[in-house]
Amino acid sequence: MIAVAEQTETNEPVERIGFITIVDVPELGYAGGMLVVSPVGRPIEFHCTPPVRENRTQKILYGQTYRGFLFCDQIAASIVEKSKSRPQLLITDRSALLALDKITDLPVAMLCSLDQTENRVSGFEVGGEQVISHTENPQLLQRVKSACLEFTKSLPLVEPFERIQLAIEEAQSVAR
Amino acid sequence: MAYLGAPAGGFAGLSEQNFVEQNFAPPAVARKNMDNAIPLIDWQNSIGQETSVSVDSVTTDLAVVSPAVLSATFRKRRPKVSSYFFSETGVQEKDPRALPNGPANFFQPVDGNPGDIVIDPTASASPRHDVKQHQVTKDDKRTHLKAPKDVIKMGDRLFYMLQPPLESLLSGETMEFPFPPFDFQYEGVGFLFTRYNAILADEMGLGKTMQAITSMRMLLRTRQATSILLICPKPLVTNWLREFKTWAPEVTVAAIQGNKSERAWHWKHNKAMVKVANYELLIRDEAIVTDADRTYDLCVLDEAQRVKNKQNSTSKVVQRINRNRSWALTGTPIENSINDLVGICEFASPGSVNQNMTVREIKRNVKDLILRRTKDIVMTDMPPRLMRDAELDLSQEQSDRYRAAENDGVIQLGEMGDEITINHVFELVLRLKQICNFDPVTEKSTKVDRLKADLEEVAASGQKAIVFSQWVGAIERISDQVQQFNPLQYHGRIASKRRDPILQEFKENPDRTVLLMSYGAGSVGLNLQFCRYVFLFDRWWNPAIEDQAINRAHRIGATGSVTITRMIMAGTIEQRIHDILEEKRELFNEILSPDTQPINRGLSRDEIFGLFDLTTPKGKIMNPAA
Repeated sequence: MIAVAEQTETNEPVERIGFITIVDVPELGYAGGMLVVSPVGRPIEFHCTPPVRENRTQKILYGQTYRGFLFCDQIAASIVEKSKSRPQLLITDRSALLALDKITDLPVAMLCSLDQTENRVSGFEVGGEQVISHTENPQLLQRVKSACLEFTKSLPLVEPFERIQLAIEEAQSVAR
Repeated sequence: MAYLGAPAGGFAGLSEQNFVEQNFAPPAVARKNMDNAIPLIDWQNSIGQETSVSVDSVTTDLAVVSPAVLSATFRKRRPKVSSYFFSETGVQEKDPRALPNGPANFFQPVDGNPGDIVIDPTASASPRHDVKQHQVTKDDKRTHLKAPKDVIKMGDRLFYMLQPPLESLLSGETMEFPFPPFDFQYEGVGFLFTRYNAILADEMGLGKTMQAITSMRMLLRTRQATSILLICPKPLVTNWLREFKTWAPEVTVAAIQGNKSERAWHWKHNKAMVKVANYELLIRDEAIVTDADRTYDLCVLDEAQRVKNKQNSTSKVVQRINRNRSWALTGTPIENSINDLVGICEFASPGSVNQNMTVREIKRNVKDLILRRTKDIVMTDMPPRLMRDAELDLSQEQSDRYRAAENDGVIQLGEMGDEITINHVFELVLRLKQICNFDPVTEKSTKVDRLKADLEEVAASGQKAIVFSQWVGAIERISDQVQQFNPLQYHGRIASKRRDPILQEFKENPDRTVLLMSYGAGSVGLNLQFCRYVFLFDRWWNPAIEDQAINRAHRIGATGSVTITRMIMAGTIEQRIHDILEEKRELFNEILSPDTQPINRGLSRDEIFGLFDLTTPKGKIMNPAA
């Protein structure tokens, strides 16, 4: 499922989709990864961070917002800044990264599970999955929907996250 | 109440009260600094955030004692980001040897920008076979490319790993297949495609040809290869041409053939993407093939066991072919001993192993080089292979002749003393095996009698059978005696150009019930999966060759169970060889398993001597099967 938040309006077809996620690396922390792909899934860019450990002090001080700060402000924002090709749409599977729309002017969509859909007010179905969104901008929603439909002709939306996971595992195996 | 240094998201959920309740203990360094009074305003400034904090209790304390001040600075210490950009020119800081073209070129249609690639003008006339498109789902099988171990740089490794799954790549508009590949075939394609050095050692019948052609096709599509040389046994050249037409109709393929000047033209001027040559002509065209100015992007050896002896002339030639990638295809990487594998590696990955290495070292060094799957593992839904041993008794005439020949032969061998060689023993074995097939005087044969009875059943059920023998003479005799089944012959005395029509006739003419083949001509590369019966009229020395023969029928596409009948004359040399081969076959199945050490297989010199309880010049040899 997809929940959409944000922003940009344009009629141009989406040619670069950024799949961005945070991967839990056991005992080491959280690593971020973003794979920018073409509408048929071909890689254009890949960015990843080393695992970042949770900081106990910050965790106490930030309280419940800490995860959002770590995932979004620290890790994901760093990654998005590095992108050269500039994706036209960000898709994530981490709810914390929906806040990326506060940092970038890119539309951000989230792949979420059924139990996360209760409060979503609008959406669409793509690739046999129910898709919902936060956005109240119908044009933006249509743009995201079109991009997702185009992409799922080749691959399911969850697939790029598998590649990110594999790539981060590979990077970690080398680092060790 | 807001807290110091609160980020954009705020500190929701962390009230002053629960802040205190968490018994925040300043770290040691901070405690040490508490002795130095720091004005509250500096504390706030050091954090660099506006704040509306009201810390009344602290302010009160300031007036009384030295303030306990905790300084905390919140900086956005962002993690280092590693970035990899895939563009027209490939990954940045690329390894020039390992790096393929950039993804922008990945899987573009060949006719999109042909460059120096020649497009077959007839390709468009070939029937289009589209894999049935289906709606992708998250549950679909996905095979991701893996970087081989010899690709070192992280960017290059990620280049492979970050490609879309093979299933997606190969089902795109630019790649068409007559049939959807099996999952393990995708894995095989992924294995070959990413490697410069590889041995695909799948058991016969699992589609090595298709996997190799698809991998070659991908290399051509991605411009990682523009010239490929494929070398195979002569009888298989037409088979490869046919398979290319089926699996990669747009790829131009040229068979190197004709007289010397014609071949020279093909070698030098034919612009086909793939050139197919046979092992035999390599020797004759050695000077051209090994020309230092000619480099192939890929050289593929089919039935690579042909180069298992790295000292033979064919091996020496293939080792000298200039090439960037080396792939070996074989169903039997180890026919007789681990040295066979060493010989193949001398082509596929020169220097990776040698004969002085221990088995453990060899296994370690070839681990990333070889991919082997068996039907038992990957084709669990394949029709069964039913083995039955027909233990027959010699006819009275055969028995008399056999005993006499054996006794005389053993006596003669014994009398040779130190002059005896292994060839003398071979001669006797062959003589006795021939008597097991046919009585040399009357030409009567218990085996043929049994064969005829079985063929009656085969013909009555509308099925077809293949009969294997090691001798052309035996095949001709069998043919004479089974004329009622309209036999066809396929062996070394049949001219190459006549062989394909024979197979076509056998396949298409329902009156042709039986095909008589020699192990040498018919054991490799042929697709005869429409046959449900295989007869091994006599036994080959090596179980791997027998398996290859059997797998002409028992392979992908087999529509039903395949029954294999091994004819064995009880109490004869055949029985003794059979017993040894069975032991070898069991060992063979273990050799390439990851947890078992390779063991010598086939009949060794000592085992051959042992068949007759003979002694070598250096002492008595025990028959291990006894």
